[in-house]
Amino acid sequence: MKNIVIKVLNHLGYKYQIIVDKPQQTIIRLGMQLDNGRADIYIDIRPEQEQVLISAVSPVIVPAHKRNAIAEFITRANFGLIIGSFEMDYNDGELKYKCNFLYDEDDCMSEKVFARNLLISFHTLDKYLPGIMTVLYANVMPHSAIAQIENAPDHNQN
Amino acid sequence: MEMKKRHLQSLMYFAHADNHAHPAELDFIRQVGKRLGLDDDEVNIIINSKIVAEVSLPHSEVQRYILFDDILNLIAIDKKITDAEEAGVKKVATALGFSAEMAEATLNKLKRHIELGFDTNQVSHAIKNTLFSFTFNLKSHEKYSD
Repeated sequence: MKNIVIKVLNHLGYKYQIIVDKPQQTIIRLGMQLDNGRADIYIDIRPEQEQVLISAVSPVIVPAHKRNAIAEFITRANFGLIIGSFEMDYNDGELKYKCNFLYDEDDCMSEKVFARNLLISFHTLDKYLPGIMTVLYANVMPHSAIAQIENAPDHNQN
Repeated sequence: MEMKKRHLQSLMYFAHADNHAHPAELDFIRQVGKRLGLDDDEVNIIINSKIVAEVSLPHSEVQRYILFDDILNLIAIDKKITDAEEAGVKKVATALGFSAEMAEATLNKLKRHIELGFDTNQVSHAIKNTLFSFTFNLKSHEKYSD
């Protein structure tokens, strides 16, 4: 799977760093310039379990006094989300969208499956990131931020 | 449609902050126009029009953030962020109703990405269109309980 992931990233022309490279685990990091902000993406490949964990990490750490508001925001965002979900570490404020999947080493579709999951991770974080930022830095209520995002056209938020 | 045009007019206003819009800045504004679904003619009309005297701020906070992020990208188009530009970004954030911490946090992330060469990692329009064909609905609210 590691080779497939690298092939897809190279095909997309992305710069990346392999930050862990062991037989049982490979972690690749890349930064992405999304339409609505920047995110760090971590692709964690675990061959023994045939798992790929994709995490699109928010560019900002949620300050302690905003964690309850963001918890509400991500609960509302997660409700009904078909693929992946948002999660926050209540202890340190790390916020991410995760999109994990199981693969089969013999599956010839793995490349397409990985590419789709990766792009969905970009797309979903990009869609909700403006809402996260308004809750964090403009004191917008979580339900209002979600409404502003989900009531906007999906293609772009303008 | 008017909101999308105002968004581009605001970017033009900031692109002319130093009295001259750099070609790379105009390219970026064209990209934003494409993202917003405006056609080339509509974007060119805005680019060739007189610069607005005052920026019209979006009503929604989400739209304001999107405008802020586009302004930030516009400023960083040359991959350099001067102290004066940093101060300007902080002022813009405040004017748009955000705390200065946001400007600080986003600037730090942007600078780090430039340093690592990640700023060129973008999702192309072609890929976005393909993606959009199978993720039109990110959500399902089907109820399965009795």
